[in-house]
Amino acid sequence: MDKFIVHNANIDGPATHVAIIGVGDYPHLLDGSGEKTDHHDGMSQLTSPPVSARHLADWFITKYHNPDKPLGTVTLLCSESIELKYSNPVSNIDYTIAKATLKNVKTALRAWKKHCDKNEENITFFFYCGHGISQGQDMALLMSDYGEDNDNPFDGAIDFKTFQERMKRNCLATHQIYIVDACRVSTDTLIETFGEVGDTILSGPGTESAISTIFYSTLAGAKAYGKKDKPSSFTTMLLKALNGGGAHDQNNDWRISTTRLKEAIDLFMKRAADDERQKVQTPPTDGLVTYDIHFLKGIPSVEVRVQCNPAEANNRAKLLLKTSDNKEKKQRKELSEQPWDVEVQVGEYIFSATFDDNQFNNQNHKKYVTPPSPLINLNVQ
Amino acid sequence: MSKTKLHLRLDKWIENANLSEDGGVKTNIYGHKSKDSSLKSYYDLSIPVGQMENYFTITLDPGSYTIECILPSGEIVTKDVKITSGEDKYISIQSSYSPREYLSFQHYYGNVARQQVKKYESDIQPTNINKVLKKEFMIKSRSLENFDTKEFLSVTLGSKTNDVWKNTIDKNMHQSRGLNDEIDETVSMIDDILLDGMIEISGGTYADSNLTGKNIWFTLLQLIGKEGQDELYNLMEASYNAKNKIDDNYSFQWIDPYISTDVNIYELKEKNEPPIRNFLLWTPSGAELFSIPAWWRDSRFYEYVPIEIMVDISSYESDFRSSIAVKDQTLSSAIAYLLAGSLPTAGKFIQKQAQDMLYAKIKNPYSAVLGAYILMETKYDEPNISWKNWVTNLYNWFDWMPDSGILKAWLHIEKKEWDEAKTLLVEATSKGLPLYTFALKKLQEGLKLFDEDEDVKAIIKVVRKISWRSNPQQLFTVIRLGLPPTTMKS
Repeated sequence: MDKFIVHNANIDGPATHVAIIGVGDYPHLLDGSGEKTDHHDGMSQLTSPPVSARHLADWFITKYHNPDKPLGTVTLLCSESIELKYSNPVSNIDYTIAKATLKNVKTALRAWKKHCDKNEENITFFFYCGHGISQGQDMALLMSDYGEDNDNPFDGAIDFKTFQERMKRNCLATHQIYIVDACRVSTDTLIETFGEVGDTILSGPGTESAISTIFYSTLAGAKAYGKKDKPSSFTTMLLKALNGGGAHDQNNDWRISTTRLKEAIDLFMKRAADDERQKVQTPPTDGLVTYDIHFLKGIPSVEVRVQCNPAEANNRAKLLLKTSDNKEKKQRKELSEQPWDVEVQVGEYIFSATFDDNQFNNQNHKKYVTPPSPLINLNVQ
Repeated sequence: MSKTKLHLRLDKWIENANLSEDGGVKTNIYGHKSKDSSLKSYYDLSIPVGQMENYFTITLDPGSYTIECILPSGEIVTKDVKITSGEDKYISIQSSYSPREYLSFQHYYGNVARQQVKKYESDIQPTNINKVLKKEFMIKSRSLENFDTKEFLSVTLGSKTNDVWKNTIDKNMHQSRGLNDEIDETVSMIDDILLDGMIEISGGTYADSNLTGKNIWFTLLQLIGKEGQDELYNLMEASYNAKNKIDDNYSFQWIDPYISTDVNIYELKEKNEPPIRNFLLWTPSGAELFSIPAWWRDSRFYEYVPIEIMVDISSYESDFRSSIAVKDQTLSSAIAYLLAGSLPTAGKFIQKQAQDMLYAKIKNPYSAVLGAYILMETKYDEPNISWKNWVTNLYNWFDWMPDSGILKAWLHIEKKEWDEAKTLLVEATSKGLPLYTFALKKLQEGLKLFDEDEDVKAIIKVVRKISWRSNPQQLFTVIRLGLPPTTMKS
């Protein structure tokens, strides 16, 4: 069995094949365990990417549902400062995950492509979380051994755009999705200086033409990686969207389509950017074509943001929601200046803010909750 | 139970524009579901945007619905409505406002960042932001003669005071545009301007005649490799001298913001064969060269529309960025969705118009290229009508435009006609910078298919190096020069 695979359902016929890479340990960047490269450019160690990678692998193995293209394989590579284990949540088999060096990633992605090539109706997912450098149309994804060769630091990087274009034109799978969770923060001339972006993984221009869609994280800097040892902000948004925020019921059942996924991620991204006063910096998708990727087995859960207007009332309001028949109730646990983000199933709810004093007015608001994530503004002035 | 009519519009003020349902905002209508009823949902509708009383009308079963509008900026606004049997209901859905009236078009495009919206949200205090300066140039065309030229001249955001962004603008100019933005007369316009200037360097009669075709690529290559800026200043000087030759017959405008009160402004005048015009814009933070589609006729009445160049200089980023927008009411939404990466939405809204745009290439070859691109990328196919032949036609008529050849090359790539494709792509690089960023991207991607050819390999090197300085967020090609580029890393 391929040493990079952590799940293999041995599907005959069309299937979904997933490659996930999470790079947190960079020995040659700041605070790394190896010899520091001159070309670190301020980049240092990350804790979120391997966590993001494992969360996404868990999601695919336990939740991904596509009746026509069931999950075939999941390839997983991560880099952490310690040896990383992964326990398949379905088979309970423990795996030692290979380090995400360029050599390992290259071998793994070529093997992944072979699985993808088995049926032209396959869907492929590629997910990367870690440092990235982009300039114009190009983007370098930095593997764990970036900077090992101080004279050629990009020997430890993937030329993502060329890799994606070659997959598009060399791989038989007609539907390909790429998710790049690499933030972009400062300015420098690394790519220009070295005149290259990294390894293209695949050779030959190819003659096919798959539907190839890229989703980019667009949050800048440390904020993109969220809290220490937690999944990155973008992966958290992605999972929220896959779990229901990106759902539509156009076919009388709930499905996640590529376009609806983008709309949900855009909304979450915009909300996060607004919260952090950041700009959304790059086009979040490239090559988007609408098709369904995941079929929910029930009614989706949707995150609702409940907030008071004016915002200073948030810290004094008891916020709660209930269904019209009172069967379901939820209340915010603690007072906070922040809005209340709460998950509910699609349906009608009454949202309310109540106060112990007379500084603000109590307020109720009835709202039918639909994906991706409604904003409930309770005007309490 | 009789059906009922629901009339919908999105209430959002956009300067001088009301976007009809042909090019409005993407809207979904969710029928509420309960154990007693399950109403039908409707997807991918387009409803008008603006403040005119024009509505999109849909016939529905009585019941409760959620209306959802998805704006190109990523904003999603929803409203619940209940309609009873036989009722005729009019609903205006409110979206967020532009922070400034004069920024309304750019706000709709999603080019205006959150920071400038703070004025309306007193609960959020700005952090780490000292100053936002903004200058806006408006290029107007001859056909808009009923407007005073000065009204399109310039608008500048001055210093931030008390958490409110205030304008330093020409009051009369502003009022003549019918804008009601707050004016802070305490801020000196000249002192606060960071933008140094903008000048045309190629395409016009008096621009540097050497800067055509391949020379543009090689000049750019020299400029981006040298941070000493000598070449940049030489280029500026040459262009400045060219500007002194301007006469009444010349279709070029020069804007010098240092002369704030009596700026020389020249109307863009009609030419028989419009070239792509390359302008150079420089600031203390760097310089940018961008392509402008002068002239642009709107897609409905084929009248000339203004082209707006917004330069956002924000000290919180130690950087600046320019955004170019054509104020084409029919295409605005499609362009905005395209810029946001929502190609299916852009395509769904204007596939029919895209064909018309392509067929009406003589009226506006630039929008014809845009139409061809959308048809190509959305893999549009309509029986009995072969729009693909019109791409060849577009190329035959407007072979001076690299973009038309690049699109034609991709049709050959689709058919695996490699030699024809290679010839067209190589040929395109001899015609100057593509107008559109997507054409630059397609050029680079296309050439890479032939990277085993030594000659092509050399061309790829040049194109790739220049594309590293391009801004993928922009519709029209923008190349960063002089100072270090906006490389983004994490």
